Amino acid sequence: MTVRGPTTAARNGLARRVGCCVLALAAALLARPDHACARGGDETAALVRQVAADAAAAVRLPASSAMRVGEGRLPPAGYLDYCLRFRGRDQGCAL
Amino acid sequence: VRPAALAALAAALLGASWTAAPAAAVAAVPARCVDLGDGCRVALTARREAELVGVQLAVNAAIRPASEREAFGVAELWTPIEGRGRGDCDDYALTKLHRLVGLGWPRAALRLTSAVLPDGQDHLVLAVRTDRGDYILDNLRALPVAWTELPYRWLEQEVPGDAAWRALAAD
Repeated sequence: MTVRGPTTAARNGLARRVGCCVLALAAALLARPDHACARGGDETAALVRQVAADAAAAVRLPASSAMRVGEGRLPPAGYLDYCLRFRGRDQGCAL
Repeated sequence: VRPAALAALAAALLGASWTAAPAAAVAAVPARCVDLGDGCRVALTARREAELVGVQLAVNAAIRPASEREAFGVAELWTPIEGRGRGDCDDYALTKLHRLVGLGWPRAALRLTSAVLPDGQDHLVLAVRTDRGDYILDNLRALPVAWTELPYRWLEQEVPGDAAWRALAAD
């Protein structure tokens, strides 16, 4: 029994398929959402938020005093409308 | 640190994710009311002070000032702004109120307050009652300020849980 190797056409077909797989793999790697470039962006954003939080924490407010309230007044019209729309989500509104 | 520098820092650096959902970035810790004889106040710990300053900076940076006619197409609409958007003084105040409640601040210590500016325009701010006095979160100022520092004529203030607002004493 004679065993023949792959024909030239078969070898060319195999090469094309391997080439396509390599290209597809490379494309998939480049398209990964957690590629190093994207992670770097996330880390930078986290660092930026930390810097902003540190800046806010560095502020010391001077002492104040208490405002004094007197007799009742009708609330502004915009407040009534807001309370109706946010009823149940804002415990401060008592209509 | 100069207030203007802080405001610029917040505007330039705070990402949309933080300004849109600060409660997700900073775990909420409920605060209890401290009663010094005149209702609910918040003990202004370093954490609470940083939250107060952070919310003031973040909301002032996230909202672009616009009249309600420009922003919503109606003459008057009080609404908190989710994420970035446009609004006027009452929208800034409500957004700050909602952010602070999201961070665990008691609603009873947060009071919408109306005033008249030196040029005669009506204005709305958020007053925050603390054990160190009342602070104003104002879209016209970079940082929270003591209420006595503002040259406003104070009109009235909500009292959460009460249907009526209350007149404010002048001093």
